[in-house]
Amino acid sequence: MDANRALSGPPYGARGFGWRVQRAMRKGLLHLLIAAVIIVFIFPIWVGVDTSIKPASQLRKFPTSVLTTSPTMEKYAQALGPLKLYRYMGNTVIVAGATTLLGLLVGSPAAYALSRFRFRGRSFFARTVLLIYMFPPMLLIIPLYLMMTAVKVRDSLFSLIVTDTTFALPFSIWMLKAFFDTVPRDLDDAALIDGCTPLSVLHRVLLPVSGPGVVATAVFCFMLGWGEYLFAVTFITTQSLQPITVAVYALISPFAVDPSLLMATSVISAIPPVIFFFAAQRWIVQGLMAGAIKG
Amino acid sequence: MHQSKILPYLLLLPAAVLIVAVVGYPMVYGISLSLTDRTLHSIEADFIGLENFRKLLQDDRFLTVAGNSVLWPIYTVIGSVLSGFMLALILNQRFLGRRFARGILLVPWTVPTVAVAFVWVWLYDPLVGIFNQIVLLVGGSRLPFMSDVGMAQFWMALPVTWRFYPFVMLMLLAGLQAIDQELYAAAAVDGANMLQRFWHITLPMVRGILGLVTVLEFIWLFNHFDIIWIMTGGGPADATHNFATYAYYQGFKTFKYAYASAIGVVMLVILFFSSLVYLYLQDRMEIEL
Repeated sequence: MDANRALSGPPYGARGFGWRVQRAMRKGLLHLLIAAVIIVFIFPIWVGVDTSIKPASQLRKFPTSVLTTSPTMEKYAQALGPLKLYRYMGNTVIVAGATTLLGLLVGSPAAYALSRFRFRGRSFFARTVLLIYMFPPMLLIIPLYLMMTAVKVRDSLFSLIVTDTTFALPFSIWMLKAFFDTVPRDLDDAALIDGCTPLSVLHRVLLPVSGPGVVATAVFCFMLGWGEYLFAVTFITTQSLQPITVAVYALISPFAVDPSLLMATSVISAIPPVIFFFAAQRWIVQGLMAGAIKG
Repeated sequence: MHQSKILPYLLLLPAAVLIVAVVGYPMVYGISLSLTDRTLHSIEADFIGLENFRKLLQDDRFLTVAGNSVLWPIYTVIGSVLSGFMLALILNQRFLGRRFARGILLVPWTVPTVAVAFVWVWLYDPLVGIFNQIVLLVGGSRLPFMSDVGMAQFWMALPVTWRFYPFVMLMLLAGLQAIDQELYAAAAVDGANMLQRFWHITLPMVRGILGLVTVLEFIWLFNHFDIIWIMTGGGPADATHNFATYAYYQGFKTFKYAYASAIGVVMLVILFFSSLVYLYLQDRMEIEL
């Protein structure tokens, strides 16, 4: 059924000239409204990117322009060159990468169990996992800080990987479960008859068949690990171990007078998660719906 | 259904170990900390019962923060749910470049919170920030934004709302697209106008999702820390503190571990009740689906 036809006029009967003019005007207005809304909501990103490529001479002019005529990549060169942002980006890549791997490694067997087995405590576990993303991290951070200090792992990337993975678990388990649920059980049965063990059904059948779901989950874990700030700023005290979210702040605050540099580093830190998200956008939406809404 | 009895438990074991180590045990530890007088400098902490909670009620700063924490979700949850819903309705129309529009409107959600905070600090810059330039251009006088104690929390709500609306938008858009278009066609035949169609078809059909995302946004925004901490650290005069930033301040700036944990326990109690609402709504959804 054509949604727009149903919405914008009588579905039956004569459609005269007046009706067509009215429809054209309505379409025009809709497009104008949409354009205006998008401009408003995207404005901060626009200004951020524009500021990062603005030459210093144009920065403090009034009225300022929101479209630089003479863009310069100087600040990006400064961020990646003298400021050595790539070093901290390396820490972030390790944390986000390990969170992704562990998230899948720990999440997929749990999702398999919830999707394919009935057992005592199943719904208790399912609920507990869900409640993690409603938990106040503030209650955990002091105990975690003290515990990690006690076992001497606090000031390390390991401490971030472990916490980030745990906080990624609700998403990875629920998303993977949602995708596993869509795989017909006949496939499992066929594999079992062919001599698969129940354990190997996971990596021989379910994971390969739900490729998009695995990608979506991986991207989600990656984004979570990439942007995490609270644990990183609390646990990491050695500067060379800081992930980019923390390093940007520490490196830049003395440069606070240089908004262009600040924006350039912000843009650099945002590019990888933005790209990954858009690559897997479709499946992430599917998985999120399944996890957050249907339960 | 497979026969094995122990296998599901083995499959859950790694996840369960992580959850117990990173959430379960620290939670118990945190609650017990809140009943002591532990600080950074105390070697032996004494059990002092509910003393910390009594102190909270006498802490003027905490009471300010508690007041903020009532306003904060009102600003941000209403802001993100309304703008998310509005954008979902718009994106549900047919227009040129719809996929592009949806994609670009999701970007704020994928940007690290640190970057969001930096961009907004710059937008809000009292002297050369773009917002004040716009204000001046339309003939107003400069706004102090974050240095205005009375309005700081409102201005703080904007960047946070901006970071959190895309989730609402995405979920509601998926809900809208699942509505059977025949319903609208039938309503049009009956002569229902746009407002009536929205009220009698659209709203009831997405009510379940709307309820769930509202509770989820409440929980996330109530817990929100990053953007506030980076932009103002809770200032000026505690105007932008919420429970999360104030607990962090007490824990890691004044090093009153026990006192900060008590604030964490208060948060836990509030979130416990919100989670019950969430689970209730989710159960109702499952019956509907």
